[in-house]
Amino acid sequence: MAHATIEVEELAGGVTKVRLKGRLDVAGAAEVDLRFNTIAGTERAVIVDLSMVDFLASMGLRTLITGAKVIRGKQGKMVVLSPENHVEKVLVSSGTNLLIPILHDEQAAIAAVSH
Amino acid sequence: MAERSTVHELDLGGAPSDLARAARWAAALGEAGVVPRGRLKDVELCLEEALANIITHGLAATAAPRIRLRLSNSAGRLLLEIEDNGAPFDPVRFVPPPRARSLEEARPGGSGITLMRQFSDGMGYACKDGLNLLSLSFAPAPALDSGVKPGGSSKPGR
Repeated sequence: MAHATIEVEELAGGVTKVRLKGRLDVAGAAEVDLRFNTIAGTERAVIVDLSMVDFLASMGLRTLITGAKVIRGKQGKMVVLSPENHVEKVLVSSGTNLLIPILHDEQAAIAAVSH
Repeated sequence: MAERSTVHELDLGGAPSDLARAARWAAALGEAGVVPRGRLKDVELCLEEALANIITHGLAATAAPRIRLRLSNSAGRLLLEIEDNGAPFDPVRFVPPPRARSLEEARPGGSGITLMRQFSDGMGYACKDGLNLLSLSFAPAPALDSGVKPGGSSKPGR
């Protein structure tokens, strides 16, 4: 049984929307890491939709920050979209929101990552 | 709703798959009303972070690793105790690295103990007879907990 899944959607303007689902714990992060890292390595404008993630732990934070660092290294941008309440608490409590902007509106997220 | 002072236990062997077993155990205690819905994810998060540290680091060189989880609910106050026979490590005294101010200086990982402090209401540690005992307490959930936003009155937002 998968703990977490990942779906990718190409939006207009070269924006990539990554929708993560499930639990981003140790097991879930391991399941999405490879594909997420591949996207981070190839894309420069990435929105990570967390609205379907119901649990986020430090290994999930590691996945997000690792990807964001790779994207930033190419002068790209990554934002998080619509995290569930507890997931947002984890992002804020860990200070991750200071590194990866959290947005709750898709149009605003598109504008934030567009160059 | 909650059972009074009943202690619920689970024994684990320290395998990576035990993280999922522990998560199912916590979820079942939530279903049974032992862990109130408003604190269930806090308990699950602290349990995940503590076990990940113990399994990855503390038990790495232990010949016969074992972990015992105990959870009790006394008048709504939860006490989660995690006992293991790994290398002594006191997370209460652990000083986390300064928060990164930019992605360039950020080092992925290392936020587990910070999250345990933020999402529990008390953390204690003792080492006795070769066993680590980590205790995490959780106050009753506020009545409107599900509506609390980060930065509000709940502890994680502080």
